Amino acid sequence: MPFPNDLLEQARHLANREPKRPKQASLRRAVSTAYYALFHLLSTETAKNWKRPVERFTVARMLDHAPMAKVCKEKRDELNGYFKTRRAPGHGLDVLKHLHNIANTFVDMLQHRHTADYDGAVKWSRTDVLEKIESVEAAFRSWREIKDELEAQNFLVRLLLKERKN
Amino acid sequence: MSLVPRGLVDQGKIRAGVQKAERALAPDVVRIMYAFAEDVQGNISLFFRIVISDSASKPAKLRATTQGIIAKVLREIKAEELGLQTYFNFRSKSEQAMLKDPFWERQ
Repeated sequence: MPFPNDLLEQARHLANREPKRPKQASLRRAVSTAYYALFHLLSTETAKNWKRPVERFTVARMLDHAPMAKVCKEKRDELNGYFKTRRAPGHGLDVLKHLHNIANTFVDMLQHRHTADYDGAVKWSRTDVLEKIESVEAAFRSWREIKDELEAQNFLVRLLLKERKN
Repeated sequence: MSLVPRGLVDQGKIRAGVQKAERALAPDVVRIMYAFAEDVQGNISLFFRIVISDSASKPAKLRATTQGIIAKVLREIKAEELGLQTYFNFRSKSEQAMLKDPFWERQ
């Protein structure tokens, strides 16, 4: 996944671009870029399931921010309920914890990206931005752990769902 | 002005939970502030602004620090029972001293 990884690396670069007094422009772009790294990770992974490589870019474009966040929120809430049932530790539970981390990070980062891109009144600090980038890096690690699992692949398909009017 | 209709959420319990978390997390946590607002998805949400000590914000321990803080705050306010979405922002004490951001000072 060179593009999502490159975006994540770029986010870190922007966050550390000015060693002493970071510019708000750099910090805002870093938050936004970290979000897009996660967005593109999920959309690229979804599109990889399309058989013909030439059409994968078009498939990736089917994914939309708000519906994805809705699916992620529902998955996170569903898993929160499941975790309360005190399931036995094991591989299955680990997979779901990773999935929870990915879904939760997506919901958070969509909000932070929105603030960074559209709310000029908010001042960002490097500490905050690095914390956001680290959360996306953790989501990337979670994805690497579970990407071949049934639950993970099912989650990707659900990201394509949009609310039907009828 | 609060966005949350009185009675819908027990704001006293939230305030008490936040104060308890703030005390328990000192000295890593300097202060915790929060506000209700609508998020990008249109849900009434709790937005936390948390000032942490300079030592707690060091890159090597930043993620562990913030994860611990988030978990504690969510536990103390019983976030799941409230059914509110929560968002967290952090900055170090020295960053706030430089930014002099009134929104990050206790009113």
